[in-house]
Amino acid sequence: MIPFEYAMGLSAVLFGLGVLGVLVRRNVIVLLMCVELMLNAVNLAFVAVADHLDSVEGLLYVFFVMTVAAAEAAVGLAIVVALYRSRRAVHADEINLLKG
Amino acid sequence: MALALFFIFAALAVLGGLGVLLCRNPIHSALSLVGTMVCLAVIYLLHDAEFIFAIQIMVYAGAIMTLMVFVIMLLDVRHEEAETARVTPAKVIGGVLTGLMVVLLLVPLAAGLTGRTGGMTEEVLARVGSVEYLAEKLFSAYLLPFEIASVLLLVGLVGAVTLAKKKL
Repeated sequence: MIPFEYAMGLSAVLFGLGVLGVLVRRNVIVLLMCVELMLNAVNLAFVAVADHLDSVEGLLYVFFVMTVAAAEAAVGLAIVVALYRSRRAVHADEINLLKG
Repeated sequence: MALALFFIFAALAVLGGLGVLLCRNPIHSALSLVGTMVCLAVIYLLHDAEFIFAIQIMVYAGAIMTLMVFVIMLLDVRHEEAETARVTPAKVIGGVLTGLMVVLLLVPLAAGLTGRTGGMTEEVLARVGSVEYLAEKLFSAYLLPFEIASVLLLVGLVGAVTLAKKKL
């Protein structure tokens, strides 16, 4: 039995790494990967609390988070492909279509 | 034993996360992320979440990351990264605030966690197993969210095909 504080600590650290990645990196695909890292950290928190409280609901939420993450990744990558096709841009600073 | 395994795989997961951040080549970032996801899958297994372990490997490390790597190979993404090496004041402030956020996330843990405990006790785990118990809940109390999730996946599928088509 792992103390749930340890798993929550790992989850917080991974979430922080994901946030830092979104702030520091400028490649759009790497940004999407950092978002996936954050979602994974949240999943870990769900699983740890579910184990701690003997609850199955946490695991069900992880299932739904993964569904949303799959849809997000598919649509996000499709947007990246469309952007690359129209603007040759994978660099977040070059993507400023909506800037006034 | 379980605790030792947890620490080993936690360290590897953090290492993978750092790899995502620091690798110049996006494909190396993607492979680091796969490593992190596999390590997290092992940690899920240590938490008695066999089903989540399986779908973490299949959906995340398998399907989603394959899609990522496929798109990286499809696009020519070698030319970024002089930018990433440059340290700007904005990035330093972002890093400090992120560190602060992690500390703030950890503070409430000191108070401990109280809450309503669920029904997945050791006895139930031994009798039916976590996968069967989860399936029972998923197809009874959580049937509507399950169906909505399948519709969401369909919408995502149609959206991805429409967005990536040649003529928008």
